Amino acid sequence: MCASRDAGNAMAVRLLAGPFDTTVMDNQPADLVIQAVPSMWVPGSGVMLSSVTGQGGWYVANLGMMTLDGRVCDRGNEPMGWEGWWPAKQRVVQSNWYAGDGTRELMYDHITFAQEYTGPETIPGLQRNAPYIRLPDRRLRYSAVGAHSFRALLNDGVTEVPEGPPPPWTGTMTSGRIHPGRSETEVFVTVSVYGNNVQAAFYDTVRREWSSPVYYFGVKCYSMVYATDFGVIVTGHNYVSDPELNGKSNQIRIWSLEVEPTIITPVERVLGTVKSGQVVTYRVRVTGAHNDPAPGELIDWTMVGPGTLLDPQTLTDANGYATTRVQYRLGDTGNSVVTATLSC
Amino acid sequence: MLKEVFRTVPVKYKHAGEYFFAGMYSMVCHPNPHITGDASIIMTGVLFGQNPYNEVWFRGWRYHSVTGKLVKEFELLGSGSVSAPGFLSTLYVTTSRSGKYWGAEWANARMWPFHYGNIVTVLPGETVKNPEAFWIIDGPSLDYHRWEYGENGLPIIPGKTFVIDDVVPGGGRWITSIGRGASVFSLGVYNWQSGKWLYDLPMATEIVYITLEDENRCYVLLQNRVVVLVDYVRGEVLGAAKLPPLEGGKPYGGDSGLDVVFDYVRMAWDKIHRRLLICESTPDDPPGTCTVRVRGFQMVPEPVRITVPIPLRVPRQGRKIPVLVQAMDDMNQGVGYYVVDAQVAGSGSPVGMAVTDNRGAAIIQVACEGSPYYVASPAGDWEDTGSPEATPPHTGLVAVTASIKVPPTNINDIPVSGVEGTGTAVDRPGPPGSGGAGNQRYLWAWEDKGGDTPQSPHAGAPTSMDGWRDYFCSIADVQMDQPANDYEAVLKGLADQGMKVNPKPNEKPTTDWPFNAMSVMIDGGGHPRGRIWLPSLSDTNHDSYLNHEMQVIKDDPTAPPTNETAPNMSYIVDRTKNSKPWDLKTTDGKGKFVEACVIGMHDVSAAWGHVKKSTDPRYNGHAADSVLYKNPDGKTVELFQIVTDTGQTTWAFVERAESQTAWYYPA
Repeated sequence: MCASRDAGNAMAVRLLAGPFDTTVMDNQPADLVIQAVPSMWVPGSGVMLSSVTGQGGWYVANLGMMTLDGRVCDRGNEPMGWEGWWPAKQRVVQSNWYAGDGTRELMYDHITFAQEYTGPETIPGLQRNAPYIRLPDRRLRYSAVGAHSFRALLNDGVTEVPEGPPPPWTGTMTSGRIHPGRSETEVFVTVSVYGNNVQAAFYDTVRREWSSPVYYFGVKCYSMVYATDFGVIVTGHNYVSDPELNGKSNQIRIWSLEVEPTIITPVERVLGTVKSGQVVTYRVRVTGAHNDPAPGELIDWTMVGPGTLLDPQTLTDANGYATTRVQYRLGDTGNSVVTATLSC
Repeated sequence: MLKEVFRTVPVKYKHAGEYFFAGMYSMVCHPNPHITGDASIIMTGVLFGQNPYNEVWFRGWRYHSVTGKLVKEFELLGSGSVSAPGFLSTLYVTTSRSGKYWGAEWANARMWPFHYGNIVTVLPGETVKNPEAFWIIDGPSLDYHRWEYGENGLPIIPGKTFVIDDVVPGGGRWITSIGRGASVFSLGVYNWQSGKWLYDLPMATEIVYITLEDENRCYVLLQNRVVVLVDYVRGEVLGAAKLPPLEGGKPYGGDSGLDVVFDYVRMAWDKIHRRLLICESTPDDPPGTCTVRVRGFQMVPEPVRITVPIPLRVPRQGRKIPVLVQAMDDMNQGVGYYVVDAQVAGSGSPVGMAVTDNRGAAIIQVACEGSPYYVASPAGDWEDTGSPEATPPHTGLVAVTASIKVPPTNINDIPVSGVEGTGTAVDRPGPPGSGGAGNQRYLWAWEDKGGDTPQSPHAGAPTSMDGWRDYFCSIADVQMDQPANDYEAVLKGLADQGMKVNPKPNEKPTTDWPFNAMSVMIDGGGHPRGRIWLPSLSDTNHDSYLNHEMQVIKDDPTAPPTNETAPNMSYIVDRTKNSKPWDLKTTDGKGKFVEACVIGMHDVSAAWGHVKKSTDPRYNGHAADSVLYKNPDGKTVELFQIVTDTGQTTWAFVERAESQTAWYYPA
């Protein structure tokens, strides 16, 4: 269930775990330097990284697999590309292989990152540095190239058209990536904005509309993925761009999409008239610190005075609303007080 | 991971001039034609003398695939050996799916089928007099150019590895290493009969060696020591594992030990025992003993660590939250079907049992009580590190720790049970050679290894072997059969004083060579070997050297074995280290770490315990850097260091002691 369909809303997420320093398999940080964390979530496998630098600082474009607590296994050379996603095959694809041509499409095996040709030899419209997702009817990319927005590359590889509604981001973005989302028809779009921060939102590829608000993290992020297997977001924090890390290793954090409830509105009547023989519906709204809705919260309803409470416990919906009904019987007279309590 | 399940005895040098195992040529596992379920491992390699370009021994070995014992050695080319026609082709030997062998001579772009002759039937003690018995060509040769440039003109890297499937329908497959340009490495699959290129399966790094496994599958060893199992008919990668680190570090002239290169490694598949056989060119032991041996591995899913417990939902009063841990192997692949033992401290309790799935993931359900707070730290416990969001009304802490039982990782790790002794407290004994009556690993010796007749150009030099021995003892200030653990320093000291080092072929001793023209052997790493040479003025044995070789170091037969018998518990050390941050810089921190390790080891085998210690540095009355293993003989213990002085974890056998009184484990 989507948290909200109000495009443009900011939604705070809740830190679940971390920060964890990224380390290599023997838990020694000196062997490899992980330049970019994370790159892509590979369902059934984990976080895939690119750009792991070898000892001594010389650049080796390597790929690695990382666990949610930051341990990286270096798997081998990366043939210089930007990773995308192919939902139908649950595989990572790459938009360019040979530096310069930027048009070749490869598909990764996630065990060793061996590659396999997947498409035509060249795809003219597929640009370098433009990670994309391959859908049955089109390829989608999101980058700072052109209009700073979604572009749909049709399968003939020539025609590129704007995709979807205007971007919901705050600030000027510099680049974007598309990751696996919460279902095969949804993707998780992350964009970098000036200041080395990252924003993210889910996008419905069938409805062609944003299916979540923009997630707000409150800390500077370098990159992020949505861990489809576990329903959490993994963010990367780069020590080069984030001086708060004091030059230490990169870090990752794990976030819940849940909103921590902090505000509950007064009870309001939304349906019916307070009158003998009527059923009246009341509601409250639960939100977080940034007024973002908190779905799934349990509300205890109590009542003093005439009338019968029909729903003593209800859950908040996707927009943070919880409702209850009160039945006023014939002959009921006097004042009633309906109270909602949020159990934390 | 690759679990070691088999190893042969190491190669032994046969001749005095053999200096190091220079490289691998071929290795196959050949079913015994007479005994069902038996096989021989046939390996060839090259040994170099002190001057690699003047002395070369090309040799074959046959090992028993069950016992690992040497069945037969074959001299194939070199000093004092028979010659074998076409020996160069044995550099590139492969097994076909039908059981045939193929050798390739890339310099001439040809490959041909052959079968091994007497080498697979000769009995121990028999002599192979006919060189053809080793290598018999039994079919027409093929020109590999038909694959070199297939229909798309893609070149093959000549001189590399290949395998043949001459059984699979459709003309068979020829699978080899393909070069597609700089830093692009592929497994090329061709039609064996027609030579037509079928497809590439690019690999992460350079392909070092390929060997067939069972139907449609082959193992591919990559330069980064990753072994990949490939289905070459479907074009799929089935799995990957990391080859354990090279034993002994960097070989002579070889790789760094972190990577593998073609000249120093060979693989073969033992289809009877279902083992991947790997032989690497490992460096000699310090006194010059060859350590090269064949090891057998099985690719098994075994975890090497579990991740820090991570909550997947926010802990809240009355809520049952999922907490994720993953059991991961050495390639960060999840390992399934392990039961997770979860402990929850604070305002929560575990619900039910957690078992890892095929991703290695296990979900621990935790029932939250009160209003707990959380946040996973690298230590595995949760603590409140603050949040950028509003702080909820936390009232308690939930901490989750998780562990799984990990089985032994190789054949040396199998726990040994036996009689446990008792005793009184004593301090940890000192290291070997630190004084007292401790056994020594090496003794001074005077063993004649043969060569030319000793004769010095100096007047007054010794003329008998006893005289040379006494002279050596006087200049080295040593006594025969006395401790020689410092032999490297002694022999290096002689070289520093001007003793001739490593005389070259046909180099005649002169009076300019001090010490009566005696010379010493120092290897490429600057380390003296346990051998010296007496000078000679005539090449009586026609080996191009004018000297007579003497072994001046021997093993002490009463010394403890260099390889311990206790199971290797390094995985417990690693697991403990990874469980939380440890302060390994202080004695107290080390002591706490050692206690945690000993608990884990003791769970596996009750023979593991602490080292009693009454003097500092110590912690809780025991050593803060070591553990003890009680041997099943009820008399001896083995001491292992697990923390170094600099605060690094290690697994280092220190010594065997003749008393179990220093061992204890708290009740």
